[in-house]
Amino acid sequence: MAAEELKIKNKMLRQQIIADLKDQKNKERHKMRAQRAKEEREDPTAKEKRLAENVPKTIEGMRVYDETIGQKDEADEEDLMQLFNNNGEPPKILLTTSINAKRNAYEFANVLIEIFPNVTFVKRKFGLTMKDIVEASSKRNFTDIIIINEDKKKVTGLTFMHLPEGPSFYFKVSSYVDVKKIVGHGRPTSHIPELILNNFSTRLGKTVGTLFQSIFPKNPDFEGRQVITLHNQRDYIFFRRHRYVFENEKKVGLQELGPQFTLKLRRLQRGIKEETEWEYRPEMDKEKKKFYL
Amino acid sequence: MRLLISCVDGGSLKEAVCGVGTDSSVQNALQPLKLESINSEGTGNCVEIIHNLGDKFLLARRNGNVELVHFEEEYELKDKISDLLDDSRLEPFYAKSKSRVKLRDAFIMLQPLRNGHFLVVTKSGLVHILKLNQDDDKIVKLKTWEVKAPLDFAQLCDNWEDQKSGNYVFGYGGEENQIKLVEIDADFTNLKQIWEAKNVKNDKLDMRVPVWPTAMKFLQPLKSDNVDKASLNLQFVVITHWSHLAHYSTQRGRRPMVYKQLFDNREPLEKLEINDESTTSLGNIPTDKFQNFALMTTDTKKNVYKYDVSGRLLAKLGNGDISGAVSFVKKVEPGYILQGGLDRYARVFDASTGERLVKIYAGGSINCMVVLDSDRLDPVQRERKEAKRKPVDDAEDAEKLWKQLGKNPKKAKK
Repeated sequence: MAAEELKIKNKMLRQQIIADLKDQKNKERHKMRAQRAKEEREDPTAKEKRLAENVPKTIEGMRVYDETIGQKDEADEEDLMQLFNNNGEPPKILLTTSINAKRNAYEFANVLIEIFPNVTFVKRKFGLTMKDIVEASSKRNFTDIIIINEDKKKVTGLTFMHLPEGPSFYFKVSSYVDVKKIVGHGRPTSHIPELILNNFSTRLGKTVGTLFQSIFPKNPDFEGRQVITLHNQRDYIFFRRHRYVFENEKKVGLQELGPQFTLKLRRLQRGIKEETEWEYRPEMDKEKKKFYL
Repeated sequence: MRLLISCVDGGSLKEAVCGVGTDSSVQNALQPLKLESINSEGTGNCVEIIHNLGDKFLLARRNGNVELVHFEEEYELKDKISDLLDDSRLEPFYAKSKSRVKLRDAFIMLQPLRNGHFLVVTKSGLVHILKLNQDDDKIVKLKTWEVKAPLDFAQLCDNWEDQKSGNYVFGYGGEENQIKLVEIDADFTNLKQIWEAKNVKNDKLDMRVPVWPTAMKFLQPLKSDNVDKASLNLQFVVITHWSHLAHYSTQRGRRPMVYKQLFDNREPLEKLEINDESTTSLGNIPTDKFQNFALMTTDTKKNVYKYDVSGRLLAKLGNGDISGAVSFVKKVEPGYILQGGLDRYARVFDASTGERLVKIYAGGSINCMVVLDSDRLDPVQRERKEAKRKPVDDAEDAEKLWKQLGKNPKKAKK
């Protein structure tokens, strides 16, 4: 019953009645839930049945059909494997910034040095072209170049270039949360982390997932218990880093190590930033249920 | 419609059978009747050029092989010729090139000459003459010449008077390699350069304009009365990496008669096709007038532009649908435009209206496409379509329908 339908002219009285009604409804709901929980504890199949029947309608659930999801092609495998062309050697990353970078970019570089294993930071110098950098890095057996893109003293993007022949990825960086701002954060160690890639389902998503797979060594140090998660949800890739703690034989706890940031793919190019394979366009945001990763 | 699609990923050749209206990206739309891989030899061996010989095909592969294959039931390799590419010839050009990736040799042209001969040109400037013996299905390499590298295109002239018996003429060019016209004797004894273009004048700042032609098509030779018969008479249209459209006539000097910049941001232009009612089998223009035809060109992002000769944008093909750079576009008979690229979709457009007829997910970025059978709709689909549309042939039925329509007309919602 809505407040208008009560036709009570006294506002305070009207509010009181509505609050009472709401309270009553809440109590009924809680009672019903407690009752249901009790029943389901006795009969676990009932819970399963209920969950199977009441699937909530989410935007992800209603996503537009994409034929590349669930398709497995040998050709795809071969194309993705070109990101692992370093003959089994662990990846070697050159980290640099965009030209004329300011403090924020260097601070972010410090964070990335901790995250990526086997990384070398080089200060970007004037007069060096991308071709010079690629050539010099290829000669020194670097497998990837990561560039921190900075605009107006803010870190706005990350460029990943696989050597020697690409592909190149450009991601927008947003929602950066510094380690210090995460309550109860732990201190990371230099162990090679485990990697969790979530929800990269389309062909483009698999390419992006494989990029992250290729920049971390394949042999994680399990004793470090560190995990990096790249979770894709609605084309936003959430970066999180945790340490898992075995509390007892059954229970596992998580301690966040940080930092947190979000990536969004803007462009995928063949070679070292040559032909565009996929590019974000603002019109893509119009269709809310179409996802590309 | 039957298509043969060459994919880079996995180096596969795929055969697709589909009707007009096929769109594999929409779940409820018409799906391809068949899409299967015929042959797959790995990315390094992918097919770059397909030449249709009717029941056989000549395939130019990335590994430097030209193969003669036959497939009706099964893929059957009849003969091949190897080592037609040479990467080492491109090494000196890498330092000066704009390319950030090491230059690799590739086939840029495979076009037929007379009597079963083929002209094959590579990026490194190797010009091969191949002979195909129809009797025993053998390919023989007759001759190899070297021209100035690097090449981005080579185009054979097939719309001039001497084409039936005389020497062959083709043009080539590339990054900082000005357009050159080359003549090959009819008996393949000699290759000589007959003409070379000259760069346009320096710009307003007196700076040299960079040279990088990326594609050309020949027009017919000039036919007016004031043609100097003693000098060479050829005409051609060129697009450049620096976004220029140029028209050259060898009768009018070595500089272009028209040199227009199509985009202010110097968007690199890659492919060139002529969108005219009739083009020659090699895609050249069957007129001597630089007017009344449209040009199709592609950039490195996702666009296929249609321009008129004055540089006015007429249309964008597949506007909004294509999401990756276009690596293949070709106009084929009867009035289809085939398009494929890095977005892994093979599309067929109607050349006259620009309407998309077919869209198929090929599973890999597309290098080349050929139409094997141009039938727009196969009988099964036609029947299905006709069955859906039941004609009201009975007069009684029609009256019933009218009565029904007359009753209870729905009120329009306010």
